Amino acid sequence: MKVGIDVAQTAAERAGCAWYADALARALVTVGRPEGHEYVLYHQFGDWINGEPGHGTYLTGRDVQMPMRMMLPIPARALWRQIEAGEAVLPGEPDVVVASSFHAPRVAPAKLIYVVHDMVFWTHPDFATDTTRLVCQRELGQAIAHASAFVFVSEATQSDFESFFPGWLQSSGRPHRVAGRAP
Amino acid sequence: MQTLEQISRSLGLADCVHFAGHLDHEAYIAVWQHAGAMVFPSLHEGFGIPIIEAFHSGLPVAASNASVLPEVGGDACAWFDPRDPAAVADTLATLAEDPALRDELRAKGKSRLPRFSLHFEASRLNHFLYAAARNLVP
Repeated sequence: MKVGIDVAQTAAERAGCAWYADALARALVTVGRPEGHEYVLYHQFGDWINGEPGHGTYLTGRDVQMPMRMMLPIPARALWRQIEAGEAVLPGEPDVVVASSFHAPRVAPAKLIYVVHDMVFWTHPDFATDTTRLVCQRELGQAIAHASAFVFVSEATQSDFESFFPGWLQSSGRPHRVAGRAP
Repeated sequence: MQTLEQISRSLGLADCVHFAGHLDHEAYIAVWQHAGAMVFPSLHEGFGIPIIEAFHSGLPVAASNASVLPEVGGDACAWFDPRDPAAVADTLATLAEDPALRDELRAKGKSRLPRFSLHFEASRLNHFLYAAARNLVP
């Protein structure tokens, strides 16, 4: 299996979702490597285009590709527009893509696996800026439209999601899970 | 943060409350190593990573009973209603004055840590991805 991972907003230093996304990407590669899986890290992802290339999770190995790590903003934005329009192939051609930083671009034929960190932009709208709230709700809407599966970082987050979309997880048939707790 | 600093000054707490601002990694680790407890009065979190970090650093934790935090902290935290200042103060006073409670919370926090192994989660997620890639419902 070839796994794409959104690392456009990851940070190795402790900083909430960004640190979690970085640590999870590293752990995914560590545990998947012995099973023969390959990984493609995306340092520019969907509508999230970094102004300066070179930031985000950096991993080495023949089983890791980082096709957009040094890509400048203008070509990165143009490429993602083509990818989302179905006019270009997602570099690395992964089977699945883990979207761990709120953005949910179209990545077909790969399957998008969307990580839901929180629903605070709706549960406590006053905690978010207008811009953050608009981006989060737009991207969640896109995830609902075309993500193949959902991962919730906690039971509380899944509960918040279901309070806004009662019955949708069940009726949509989309696979979903809550991040694991070791027994 | 400027608003909080103004509130702190207006309450006469300027000498008691230190606003550290952004800390580099070394300073950040030093705070965890030298703290006596971690107080987390958050109204909302998606997960609550600071609780896990406090457990990792062997700190007793007093935390808000809101949102996801009880799911993460279980029985290893002293809980309070974050919208009730008197309850917050009572919990902090109890934690400050009761060394046996601090020891108990430290021990419970340490024993709770293995539940949150990133490798465990990554392994489970890999299986989920594999199933999703092949249209198998995990």
